[in-house]
Amino acid sequence: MNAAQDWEDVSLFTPYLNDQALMYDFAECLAVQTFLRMTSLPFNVRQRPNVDFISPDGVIPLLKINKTLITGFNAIVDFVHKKGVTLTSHLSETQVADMRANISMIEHLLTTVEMYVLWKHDETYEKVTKPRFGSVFHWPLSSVLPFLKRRKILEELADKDWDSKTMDEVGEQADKVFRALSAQLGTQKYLTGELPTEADALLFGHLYTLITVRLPLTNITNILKKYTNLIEFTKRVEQQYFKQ
Amino acid sequence: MPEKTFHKAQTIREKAPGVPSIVEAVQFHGVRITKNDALVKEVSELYRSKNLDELVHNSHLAARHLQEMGLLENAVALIDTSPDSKQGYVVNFLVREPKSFTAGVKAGVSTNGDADVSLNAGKQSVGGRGEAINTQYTYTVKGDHCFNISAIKPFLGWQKYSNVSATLYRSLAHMPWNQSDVDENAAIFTYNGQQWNQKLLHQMKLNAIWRTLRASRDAAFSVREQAGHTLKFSVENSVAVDTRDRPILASRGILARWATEYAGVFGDASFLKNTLDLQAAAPLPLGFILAASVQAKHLRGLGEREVHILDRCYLGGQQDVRGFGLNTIGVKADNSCLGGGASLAGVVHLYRPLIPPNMLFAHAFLASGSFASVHARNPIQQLQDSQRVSAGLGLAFVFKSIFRLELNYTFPLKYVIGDCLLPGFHIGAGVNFL
Repeated sequence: MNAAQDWEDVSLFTPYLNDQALMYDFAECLAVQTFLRMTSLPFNVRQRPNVDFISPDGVIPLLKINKTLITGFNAIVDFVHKKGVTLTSHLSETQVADMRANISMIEHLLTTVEMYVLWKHDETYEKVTKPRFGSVFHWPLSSVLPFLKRRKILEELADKDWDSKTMDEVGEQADKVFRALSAQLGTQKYLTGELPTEADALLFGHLYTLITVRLPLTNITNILKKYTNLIEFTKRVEQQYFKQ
Repeated sequence: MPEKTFHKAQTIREKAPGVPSIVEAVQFHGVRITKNDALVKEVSELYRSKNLDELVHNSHLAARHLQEMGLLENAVALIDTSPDSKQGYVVNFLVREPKSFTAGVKAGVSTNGDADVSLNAGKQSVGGRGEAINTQYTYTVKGDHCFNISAIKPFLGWQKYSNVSATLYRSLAHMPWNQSDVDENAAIFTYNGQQWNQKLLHQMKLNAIWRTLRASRDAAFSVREQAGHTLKFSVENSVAVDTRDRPILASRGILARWATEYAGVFGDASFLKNTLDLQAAAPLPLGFILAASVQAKHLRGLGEREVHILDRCYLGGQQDVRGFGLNTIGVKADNSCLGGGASLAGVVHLYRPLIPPNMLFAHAFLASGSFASVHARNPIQQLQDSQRVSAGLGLAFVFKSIFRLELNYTFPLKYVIGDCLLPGFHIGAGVNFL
């Protein structure tokens, strides 16, 4: 299948990135954009207040190609791969497996850390999460919906046994992820060497978000700033794919 | 009360007009919780009756009104002569007050025509002045749910038919015409009243509705794009003149109703919607009844956003343009109907009463419906171009003023490819029919 022929009228639906998107959603949307830019596939970004409802399974972001809808970073990467476009053709099977492990670590651990900070930490919830999440609704929904969402996310955190963690323990989890990724990156340009892969796109999405986000609590960002090669990596990717 | 023999009002009707009367007392027998001031408001007019005929008539009206207002469950007026004077009369009301608490289960028909079962519980005349509280839980065979709690307070007084009510409801409903589900949480305040000597019915509503539209997997992207939470605050005003003899299947009389809904002060929705209903029925020779109904709707968006799919005009179904799927006449996208910005529907009926009379009717109809899209530059032209027509024969069954059941054999006569046609036998049930 020739990807270029079928790749027409492609839109990436995201929340309002500046005012609405929460940290982890922003990171995923940025990761997908980075990935698509790495593959040089053309697309339009359409910002909508109700992407979580436009998306058939509630997962953000949503990629629409004609009438096909694909949601979430992993599914979009898989779809592009099926179209014959891949960033991993130069890798050995072991390297691909390592890359997948990195993606999984970012998706699970880093996203959960971000969720914890946004929804569990009271001050962050009141000052950042609630206003952003409620920004697209009128009163009283602007208060009711963040409240309901918070209850749901806290249940999810409880299912993962994260609800009893302290902020320091959560910081340790983040540190663990950053340390592993920093070691993997070393002095290379990208995680697997000279060429970018989808893991780099996802890592960039989350790191850029963590560096630029303004939160009442700066502990996670401070932990990240200890790993200078990760900061350099983020600047490099931003320079290459977003500042040309 | 002493032992006496009472006669029906007819026995004295011919002799009564000339007989002057003075009401000396109005007495209630069986009152326990009903407040005195409420009863006084209801019956004080009786003291103004000038002759016996008027008194008989007014006593009957008062008894009926007491029941219709929910003040009493049963009331019978008995008129007695006064022992003291020749022209004096005493009106005795034998009454039964509403039960302290009512509960029930009933099977019925929803406004969309689905069979439903509802559980209800309520308390009538809570404070002794006709106030009522009702709760209801309804579910339909299609899996829709609705929980409803309402409080109503009538304004008492001689032949006054007005009330205010507050309703809270939560409902979950499936909308097959655009492949989606909608959850609603609503608070509604209603005023019902009558103006101009009870000739003009007047209703005002304040609606606050939180709606959540969830598109199913099969929904068109145009429906999906509108999914999510929206808040609608609207004011509805409707005035009507109704001279029909029966509301559900009239044999004579007209109904003219004009309703306006304005949304836009708060919330996401901002539009102005006008609905005009006209119905007329007239008896023909041999017992035939000729009836015609027209409904015109117009919707204008007032904000930057286009009018939400839940607020648009829909047509089609067993209650208006028979022979087409429910709410499927409108702008189409894939398999979903996106509704329109204006619609015009009309139905001409010919009925012939069968046995039992006033319940079962032979029924023939010709129905027409057309719509214009929300963005229409020239809605009149679109209304002409989008006309759908169907005709049919069948039976109409009317159960009191509660619901109407139609069994029709329908022939869609004018349609376009892609329409959801339902030729052949179909059953339609409901309350509001065109």
